[in-house]
Amino acid sequence: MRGGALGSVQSGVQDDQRGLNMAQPTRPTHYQPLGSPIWQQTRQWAGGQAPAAPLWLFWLSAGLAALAALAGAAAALHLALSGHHLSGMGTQLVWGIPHVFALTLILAGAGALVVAASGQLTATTPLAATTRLGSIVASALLIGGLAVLVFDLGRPDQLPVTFQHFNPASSFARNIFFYLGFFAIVGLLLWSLLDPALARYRRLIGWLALIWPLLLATNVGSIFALLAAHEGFRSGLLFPLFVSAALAYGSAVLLLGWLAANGLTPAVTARGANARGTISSPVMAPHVATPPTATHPTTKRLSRLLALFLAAHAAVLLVHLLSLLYSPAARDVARFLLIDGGIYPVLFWFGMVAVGVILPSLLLLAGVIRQRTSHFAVAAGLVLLGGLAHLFVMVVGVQAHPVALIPGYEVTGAAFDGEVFSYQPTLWEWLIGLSGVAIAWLTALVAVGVLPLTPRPAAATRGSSAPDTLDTPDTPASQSATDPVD
Amino acid sequence: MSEDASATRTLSRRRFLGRCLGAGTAAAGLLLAPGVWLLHGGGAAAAAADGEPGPDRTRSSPRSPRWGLLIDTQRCSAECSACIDACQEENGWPEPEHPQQDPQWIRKVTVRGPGDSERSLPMLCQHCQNPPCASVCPTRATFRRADGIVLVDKHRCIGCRYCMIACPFQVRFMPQRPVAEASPNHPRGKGAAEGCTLCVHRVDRGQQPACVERCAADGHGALLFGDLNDPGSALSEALRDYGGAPLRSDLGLAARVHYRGLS
Amino acid sequence: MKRFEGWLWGGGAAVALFAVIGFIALLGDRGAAPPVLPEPQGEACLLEAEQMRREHADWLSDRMHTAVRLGERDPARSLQACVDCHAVPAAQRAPEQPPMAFCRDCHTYTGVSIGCFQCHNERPKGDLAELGGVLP
Repeated sequence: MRGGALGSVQSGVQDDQRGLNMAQPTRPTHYQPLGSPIWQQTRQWAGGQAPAAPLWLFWLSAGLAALAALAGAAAALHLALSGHHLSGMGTQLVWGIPHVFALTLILAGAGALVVAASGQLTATTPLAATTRLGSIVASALLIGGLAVLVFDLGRPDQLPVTFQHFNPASSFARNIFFYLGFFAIVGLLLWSLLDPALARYRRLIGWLALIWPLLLATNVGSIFALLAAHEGFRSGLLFPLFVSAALAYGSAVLLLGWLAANGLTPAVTARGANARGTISSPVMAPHVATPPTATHPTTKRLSRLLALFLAAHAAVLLVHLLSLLYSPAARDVARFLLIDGGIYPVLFWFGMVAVGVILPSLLLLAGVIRQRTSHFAVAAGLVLLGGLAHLFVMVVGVQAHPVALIPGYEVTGAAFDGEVFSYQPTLWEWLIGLSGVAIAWLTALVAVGVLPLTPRPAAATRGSSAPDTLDTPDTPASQSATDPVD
Repeated sequence: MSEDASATRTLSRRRFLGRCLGAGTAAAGLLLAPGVWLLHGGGAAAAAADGEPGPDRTRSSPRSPRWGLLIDTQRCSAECSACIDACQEENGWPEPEHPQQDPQWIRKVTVRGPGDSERSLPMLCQHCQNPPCASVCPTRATFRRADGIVLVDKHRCIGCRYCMIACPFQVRFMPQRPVAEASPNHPRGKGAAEGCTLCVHRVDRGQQPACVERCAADGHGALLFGDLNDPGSALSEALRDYGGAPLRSDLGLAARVHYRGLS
Repeated sequence: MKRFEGWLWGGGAAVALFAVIGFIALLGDRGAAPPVLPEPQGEACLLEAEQMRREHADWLSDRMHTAVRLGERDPARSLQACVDCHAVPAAQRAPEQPPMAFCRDCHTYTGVSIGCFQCHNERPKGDLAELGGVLP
């Protein structure tokens, strides 16, 4: 294989034969070496050029995320000591804002690992460039989501019990198994990528990493799909719905991560400015100046995947809604969620449908036509926001709708009999929910800073300021630029 | 060259999708297994047995009692709350300050049925034979005893509230504020799930649940407690002679609390 | 190796700090005397004091399992029986003294957290009878 740098990927059909294989043990130089954290790289190998944006932004965003994470932990401690009456949740509505965040994070993490693993399996496609980053982002998201779940427990001090007693009939207990396996597989995946000794197990590990998160997402769906008590939950369609949600959120978050994290590699910033398609306000990447353009094959592939998964998710969602509407028992709750349930229809139609599906679809299309990565980034962010809105409607809204205690009878009595639960999330719940995002962000940020996760052109290894091929269009010049490596 | 070899090993799209399908099928089996196990009756029984050493006393034999309750809605009066008072005194839960959050092990509900007939009835844990709360509990804190009483082993409860969302009757609670002082009859604490125990401490002494006793003394004698496994018990006879049905039989819960006078 | 040097120094400093603080804590602990435990109300314990001191945790957790999950109750061996005998009756209690000072004082001294009375009642039956069987 020649032209091992990213540039060769752009040669279209040839990808399959001779394109990029970042994981080649003979090409470790495509990544910065292990043990050179971001705050040392700028000195070490920026080829004498200072990064385009200052490093203090990296520390600032890490510090803010750490603060938010601490605030969430403090809120959790406060809830554990004083009691859950400080939250807006109650007997009828037992899972609220924290769980919406947790589910979004966990599903996004599962989806991100699926995309990353498929990059591992199809090592010659542009997706391969996302395997390292994707697996780290995936586990960061899972860590954030799980932290939220633990923060919200009524008795977090009893957590060790979950490892002593295991009920396989419980989706939660099965999930513990899937979560632990997830981290083990991500560890294996990274190990196989960073250590040439494990190179021959890469395919096996790749398959594991592809299937496991799909199982995980399915099992997360089973938490709700198997709840007989609520007409709004009990549905086998929740399994594909959660899988498609995971794929959509996962590809969105990976697209965001890919666009942002590439700015962290000095090789990208060290080269001359490329005016086309920059992110105006980089979130994760402080000294981003010229992230890959919209024409970069990995960006292209990720954005197409996002469009595909989003369409699939919308289709499954449509089927789910139709099944709710056509099932006489569920018609009440469907009406509540879609038409007259107060905040829930608003969030569904505006938050999920408009902001979460239609707008990002248009933006992805516009991004392809106008070749703007900023469109892609905004679209990915909107998909995640739409996911939050959707899960809020689906998880909280269904609980807010009163349970049919005795079908056919009108039941009144206690505060939770026949009444819509008016859920007013408190500050504590928001802190706990947001801290999950902060923890995921912080974990990913530190990992991107410390580990060699994003590829860089071979040219930068030698500290020269030769033009890299990361985001130049496919030209013979870019091919030849990478040739000296061989 | 090794690089060429690696190039030929790369997957075509068709093979990739094919393998995805195969692997997905295998994976689906892995997910199905626990469900089949649950179907086999493993859920609640195993939740009680839990692999602890000693003789297996949790599998019920036909001769062991199976406690049940019959609630006669034609006798129950909307004004009466004798059962609730008795339960509060017996088990030490206070009057709910915030009805949306605080526990009410037993509550009175008004049921308006077809033909505008209005009934008042107590709603409490239905002690299902197939309790959804027990099958979803990750640590098997919620379990069904051999005699059919559904209990929470609070030593194991982590406060995830999965059982609360799984219960079709909303009769499971989590004390959300510190418990001032627990009754010696029933230890309870903030953050651990709880619900009606059918006064298990009294039943084990050979007594009737507090609500049943009080209803007979101060109320209207609307509650009848007994052994469903004993065809000669007053409960079995009453069910045979006058009828009575569990709630939500459509969900296959096989609840042990029966109501008479609803439809 | 060199690039890990900073981490090594940092880790070493943390370990050293931990050791120093631990040593100081141990020094400060020298004068602590074992608490004087309240006299039990009953005649004799279920086990010899020495054995009970060693085994009460296992004993209680075994009771916990058989009573709660298997429904085999033994009032003479229940936690409430322990409380009835070992709790300080209301009349003899010093202000701020918990009824089960017997358990709590020793657990404080040994630095072992005790969770029982977060949920379980710690008043003896006598106290409860005075209250008319109803908790305040």
